[in-house]
Amino acid sequence: MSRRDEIRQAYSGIYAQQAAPKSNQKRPEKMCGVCSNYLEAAFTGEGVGTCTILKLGSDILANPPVFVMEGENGYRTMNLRDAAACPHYSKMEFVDKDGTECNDPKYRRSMRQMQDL
Amino acid sequence: MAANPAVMDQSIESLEKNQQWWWVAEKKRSRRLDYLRKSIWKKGAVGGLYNPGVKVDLEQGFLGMEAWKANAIFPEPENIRLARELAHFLDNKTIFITDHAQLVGYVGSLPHTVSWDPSLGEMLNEEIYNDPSAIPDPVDENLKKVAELCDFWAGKTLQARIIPAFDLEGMMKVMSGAIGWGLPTSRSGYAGKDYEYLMTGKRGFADILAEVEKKLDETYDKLHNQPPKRDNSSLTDKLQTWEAMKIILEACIRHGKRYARLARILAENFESDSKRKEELVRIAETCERVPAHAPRNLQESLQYDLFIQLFSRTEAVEGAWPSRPDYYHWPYYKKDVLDEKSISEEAAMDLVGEFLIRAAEVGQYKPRWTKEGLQGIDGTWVWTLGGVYPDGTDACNDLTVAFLRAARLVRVANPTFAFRWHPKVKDEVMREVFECIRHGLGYPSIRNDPLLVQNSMHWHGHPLEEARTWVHQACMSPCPTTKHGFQPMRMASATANCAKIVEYVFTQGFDKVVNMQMTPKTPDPRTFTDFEQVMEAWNVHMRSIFGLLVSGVNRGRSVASRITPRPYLSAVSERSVESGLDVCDPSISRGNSWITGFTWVENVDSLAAVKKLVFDEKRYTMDELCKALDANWEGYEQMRLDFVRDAPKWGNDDDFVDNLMVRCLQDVAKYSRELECPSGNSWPLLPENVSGNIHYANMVGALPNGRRLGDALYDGGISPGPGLDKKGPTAVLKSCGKIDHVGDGRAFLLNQRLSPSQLAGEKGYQLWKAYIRTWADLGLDHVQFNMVSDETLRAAQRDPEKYQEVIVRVAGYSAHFVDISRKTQDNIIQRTIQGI
Amino acid sequence: MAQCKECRNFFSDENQPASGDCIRKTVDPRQAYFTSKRMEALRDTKDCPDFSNKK
Repeated sequence: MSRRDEIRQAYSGIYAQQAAPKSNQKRPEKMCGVCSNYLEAAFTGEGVGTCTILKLGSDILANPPVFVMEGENGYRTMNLRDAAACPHYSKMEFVDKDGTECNDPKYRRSMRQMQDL
Repeated sequence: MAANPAVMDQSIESLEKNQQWWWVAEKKRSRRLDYLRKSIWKKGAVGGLYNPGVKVDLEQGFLGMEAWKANAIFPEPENIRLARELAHFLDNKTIFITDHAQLVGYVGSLPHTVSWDPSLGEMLNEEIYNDPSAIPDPVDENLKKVAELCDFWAGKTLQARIIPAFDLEGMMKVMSGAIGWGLPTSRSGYAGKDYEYLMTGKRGFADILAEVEKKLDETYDKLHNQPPKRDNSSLTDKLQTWEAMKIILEACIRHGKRYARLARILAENFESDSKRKEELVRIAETCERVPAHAPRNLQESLQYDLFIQLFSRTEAVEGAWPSRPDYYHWPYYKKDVLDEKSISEEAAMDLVGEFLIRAAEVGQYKPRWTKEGLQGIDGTWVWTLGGVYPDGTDACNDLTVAFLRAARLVRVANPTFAFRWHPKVKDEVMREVFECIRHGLGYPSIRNDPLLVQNSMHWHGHPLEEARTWVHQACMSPCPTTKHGFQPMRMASATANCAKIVEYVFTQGFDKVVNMQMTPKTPDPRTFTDFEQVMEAWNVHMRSIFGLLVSGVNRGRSVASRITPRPYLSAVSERSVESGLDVCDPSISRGNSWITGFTWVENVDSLAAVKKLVFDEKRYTMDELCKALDANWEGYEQMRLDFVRDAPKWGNDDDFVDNLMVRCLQDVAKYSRELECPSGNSWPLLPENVSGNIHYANMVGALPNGRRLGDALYDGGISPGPGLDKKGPTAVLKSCGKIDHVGDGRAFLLNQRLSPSQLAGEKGYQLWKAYIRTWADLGLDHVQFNMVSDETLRAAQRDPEKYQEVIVRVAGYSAHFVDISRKTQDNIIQRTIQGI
Repeated sequence: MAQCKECRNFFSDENQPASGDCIRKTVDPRQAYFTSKRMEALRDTKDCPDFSNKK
C-alpha cells in the first residue's frame, strides 16, 4: 500500500463515520475513547485520536478486523468507535470530563456524549 | 444590573489607595458605560468550554443552507456563490439594538450567541455537535437542528474542498495537533485591512461599488465587443470577482440600512424617553450614512469601523483584529470634540468606551486549539496606538489619550492595546500608558517603533513610509495598512509548538504523545559524543517542523483565490478592486509572513542543560538522560532537580545560555531566508505564546530543562521560565538585549511582572520610565506588564464573582483572571514579580 | 388563519411590500434589547407563540 493510500485509509474511516447521519450515532459499550491505550487529539474537539498499540493500516470495524502491529504511525480512530472486536481494549479507571481545563490526550474526555459516563 | 455591593459604600479615593482599580472603574464610568459593560456576554472559553449561557448560533447555518439550495439550481463560481450566501444571510439574519447602545452590529443573531458558519468545515461542525455546553436550549430539539446542519454540510464545506489540495502527509501531521495550530485557509485566520483605502475619509462602500461597476462595464465591453486577446480567460475570472464584490457590497449597504430602519421603528413606536428617542434617531442617521458613504463624525466613523469588521467576520472566522483606532478616527474626534465642539469629551468617552465594548463582545465559535490557546478571549484584538505618521512625526493625539482612559473605565480584556513607543512621545501620553498598566490592565504592551519599522523593511522590504503605517496583524507582528503591504490572510497554522524541536532530538523525531513519526529520524542521541551533534539534530527538527507548517500555509495561500476566495475582503481592498483579482492572490501583495514560535525558550534552557551537565561537566551521560526522559523523570527526581537547578537558565544575563539563545535564533533566521512565501518574501520567526503554554502542557513530553509531561510550559516569547529569572529585571533585559531584534527574527515577546506597591505614585512612574529607557537602549522590540498582586489573584480564585474585572496579561493578550482555567491562573501567579 | 401582517409586532416595509420586520423585546440575564427579524407579510402565524393581533 502506498503512503498516500495508508493516509487515505486512516482518515476515510473517521470521516465516513462522521459524515454518516447523526441520528445513527451511537455510544458503544466498549469504545476507544475510554481505552487506556487511546490518546485523544488535542487539535479539535472532533473526538478523534490515536491508538498506542495498533498501527496505521489497522481496522477494528472490518469483518474480520485487521490488526497491524508494526509501523511508524498509530492507528487513527475515534472516541466513539466500537472497540468490541479489539483484543487490546483496556478500560480506563478514570475519565476526566472537566472541559474547563485544557486537553489531556490520555485522561480528559470532555465531549457531550461522554459526560454521563 | 445592580452595582457591586462591595463597591457601593466605599469612596473612590479609598479604592484607589487600595489599588482596587476594577472597583474604581465601576464607580467612575458613566451609567451608560456601566450598563453596557455589564451587558457583555463573555465569549472566551475557560479551558475548552464556553461560559454558561453562551450558546452557538444556528441562524447562519440554516440561511446558508437556503442559499446553497438556491445556488444549486444554477451553480455559480465559488466567489459569486459565497457572495450570494453572505448576502442572503445579511439580508435575513436577526439583528438587535441593545438598550442604551449608540453603536450597533454583531456577528451572531443574539447577544449571548457565538456565530457558526457550518460551510467552513466538518471538523468544526463535529466539535459543535460534541460540545457539552453550547447547544442552545431546549437542548434535545436544538441538537437535532445541529445534527441536521452537520449532515447537510458534510462533504460540501470549504474544508472538504481544500484538504485534497494539500499534501496529505503534511496535513496529517498538522492535524495531529502536536506541532502547530490551525488549518491553512483564507477564511480562518487573521485578515489585515487596507485601511489607507477604506478609512481615510475618501470613500464608503457606495463609492467602491461605483468603481467596481465601472470595471465591470469596461471589462464586459473588452470581453464581448473587442477582438479576443490571450488574456481573455482572465477577463472572465475578473468579471466574476467584480460581480462577487458588487453582490456583497450591495448587501453590506442594505445591512446598514436594516439597523437604520430598526432604530427608527423603535424611536417612533417603542421609546417614550425623549433623550433615548434622539439617540435612536442618531443611530438611524448613522446607519443610513455608513457603510454606504464615508463618515462625517466620530459616531459614524466608529460605526463604519464596526461594520467593516462585522462583515469580515461574517465571511471568515477571524482570530485577530488589526486596528489603529486613534489614528484613523482622529480626524473625526478632532472635528467633533475640539474644533466644532458638537459633542463633549464625556459624550465622546461614551462612544469610545462603547466601541471597546462592541469589540469585546464579538464571538465566533472556535475550534479547541483556539479556545484553549486563547483562553478568556475570542481572538487577539491587539489594537495599535501611538507611533508616527508616514513622515516620521509623532502621531499620538487626544484620541490616543481618550482610548487609554476609556480602557481604564470599561476594563475589557479584549481589545488590548499595544503602544508604538518612540523617543518623541510626549510625557503626558506616557503617563496615560503607565496608568493603564498601573491599573492592572496588562496593556498596553510597549513596542519599539523605530526598531520595528526597520524590522519590517529588513524582512519584507516594505518602503519606509508604508512600514510606518504598521498595525499589529495579530498579537505581535507589524503589518502595513497599505495597498500592497497589508496581508489578507495570516493563517494561524504557521504557528509552531517549538518545544517539540528539542523533544524530538531525544525521540529521533517520533512523537510519543500522538504516536507518529513527525520529523526525520535523526541518529540515536545516546550515540552523541559532543554537543554539536545535538545541535545538528536540533536543526534537522527545526527545519522540518517550520518547513512543514510554512509549506501548508504557502499552499493554502496559493489556492485561496480559486478554492477559498474572499469576495468581501477583496471588495474593500484597493489592489483587488483595481485588478479584479481576489485579495488572496499573492501576485498583488508584498507578503508579510512570519512563523509564530510558541514554547520557544524551552529549547534554549534544555540545550543549555544538556551542554553543561552532559558534555561540559560530564555529570550525566546521554544514555542516562534519555532513560530519564523516557520515564518522564519518574524515578529520577534528584537528576531532574539537577537539570532544573544546576543548569543556567535564560533571563539571568548569563552568556552560557544567552549565547545559545542567539545561536538558535540565528540558525532559524538563516533558514527563514531560505523559506519563501508565495509573494517571494521571507518567513522570520516570532517567539510568543498566548496560552499555548497550557494548551500544550499535556502534548509536550519530558524535556532536559527538568520539565515533565503535564507541567505548564513557559509563558512564552523570550520570557524566562516562571521563577527562573533570579537576577532581577535588568538581567532579564540584558539577556534579551543580546538578541538582534531586527535581524534575528520578526519580533520577540517579553512578559514582565511588576509590583503594584513599588510602582505607586510619581516615584513609581519615574521608575517605570527609567525601565523603559533601559529597554529601548538595549534594543528590545516588545515588553508587556502584569501589575497585580498575588493576594488579589488568590482572592479572585476564592471569590471570582467579586473580581470579574481583574485583568491579567496572559502572553500576547490580556484576559480576565476569572475567565481562564485554574492551571493557567496558577501559572500566572508563579511568574516572578520583578522589583525595579 | 392569521398572518404576520396582522400582528402588532410586525412592521411592514414600504420598499418591499411582501415582507417586513418582526420587532420583539428581550430581557436576558445581562441586557435588554430589541430584535428585528425579516418576515413575509403573509406568513402563517399558527406556530408563533408571540402573535398578538393588532386589532
